Amino acid sequence: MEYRKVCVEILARFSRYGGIRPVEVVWEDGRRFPVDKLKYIEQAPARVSAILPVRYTCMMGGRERRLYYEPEKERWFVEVEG
Amino acid sequence: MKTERCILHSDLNNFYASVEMLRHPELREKPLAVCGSMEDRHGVVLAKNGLAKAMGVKTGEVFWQAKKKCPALERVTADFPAYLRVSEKVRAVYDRYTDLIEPFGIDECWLDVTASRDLFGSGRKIADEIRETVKREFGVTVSVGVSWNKIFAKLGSDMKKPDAVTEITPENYRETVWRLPAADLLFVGAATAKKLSFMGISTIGDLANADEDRLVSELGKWGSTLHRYARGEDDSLVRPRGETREAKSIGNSLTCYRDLVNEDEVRILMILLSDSVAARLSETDLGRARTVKITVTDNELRHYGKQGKLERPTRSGKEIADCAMKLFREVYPWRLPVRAVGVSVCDFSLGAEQLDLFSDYRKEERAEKLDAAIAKLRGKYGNLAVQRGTVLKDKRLADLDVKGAHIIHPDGGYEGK
Repeated sequence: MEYRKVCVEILARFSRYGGIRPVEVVWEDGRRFPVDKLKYIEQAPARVSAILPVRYTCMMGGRERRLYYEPEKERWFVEVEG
Repeated sequence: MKTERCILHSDLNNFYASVEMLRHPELREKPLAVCGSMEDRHGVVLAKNGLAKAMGVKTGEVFWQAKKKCPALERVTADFPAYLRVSEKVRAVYDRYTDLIEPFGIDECWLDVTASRDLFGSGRKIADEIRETVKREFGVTVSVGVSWNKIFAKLGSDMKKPDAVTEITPENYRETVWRLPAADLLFVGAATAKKLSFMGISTIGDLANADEDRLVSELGKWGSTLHRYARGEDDSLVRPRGETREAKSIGNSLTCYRDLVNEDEVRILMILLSDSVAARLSETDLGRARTVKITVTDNELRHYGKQGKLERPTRSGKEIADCAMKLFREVYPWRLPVRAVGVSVCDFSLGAEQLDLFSDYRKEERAEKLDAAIAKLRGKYGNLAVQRGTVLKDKRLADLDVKGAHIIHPDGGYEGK
């Protein structure tokens, strides 16, 4: 299974106690996908090119999805099959 | 032989290459060399992955040589800041188990988990948890050695690669450590290994069972140390780097006989002070300094200060002076003439450092050899015997014997151990 890295626009919330939580994914065609629930936040490697990503495992549209955050680049990506 | 301590040695496997394979997952199944600067095709191999190693690619050889042995060899340019980031993250994992962490280069650490066992379980269990955690969180692997002393712990981590834990116990060290070649022992280089082989000593076990007096007569005090290492009797402590940072600095400051009005004059003083600090540093066993701090006082007694990190740890007066001048230019507004200047160094690296293959270590070696030769001449003929060309410009400054004279106000001191 091949994956490619797709960097995405994310709307995120910074809590007053610190911490970043993704709220919505804005796809390149303009569609918006809300994050319903955040299940885990963990330091975990990706299957695509990234050195120290933080993996956010979320529930979106009834399915479990992974959003990755690269702190030193201040950007988010997802792994897309194909 | 005291065996109460529990020491881990954790070694990131093929570190640079492993990080690059995170950046380039498409290269995972290919032989890969991480090289230094790639201009004019003189890139030197700094690290290789398992596939490249199997084809005979060696660290330190030039890329085109490696490519001859391994035509499919891929290469990437080293990205040192990225490796540092990963290294710090991995050390944060070690920190969950103990605060007694002694880094040994960018990819190795010793951990003292003697007291941590009450909280986390046996040394072996901690080692295994660390191994699993590093793999799970970062996608790189470590080999961990577990033993009662630093030397055996390091030999243990070398035994199984990658992604493994090896325990050296009082029950098994004779079958494991003692069978290894003497050259594998920490700090035994080619020259020492040769001398040992002339003495009929080829394994660590031979070394352990050799007559200590004989070793001392051939190798001096070092022979006794190696004998201890081989027998598992090394009792050196795991020394956290943080311990050295706050505790010590070496500095000198100088109030000149007249106020200084331009940068050239300040440079003369910086050079004198830096030489003196370098000389004092080389008389200690603190190793090299990583940070330079300067203080400047103008003739209305207003104080300025700035500190900065050196590009790499140094013991050289010239490198300290260059850094000091750079800091001076950044901080001093030249509204008034300079009355006094101080230079100090701190944040020392104890013991052996991993050779930084990025820098021109030959240049630094030459600077150090020069400093050592100057120190010798000065020791014999007095501190004024050898002076830098710039200093001789102002005869009265040249006559200032910074290290020996009484007009110096030592700033921060080095307290001997």
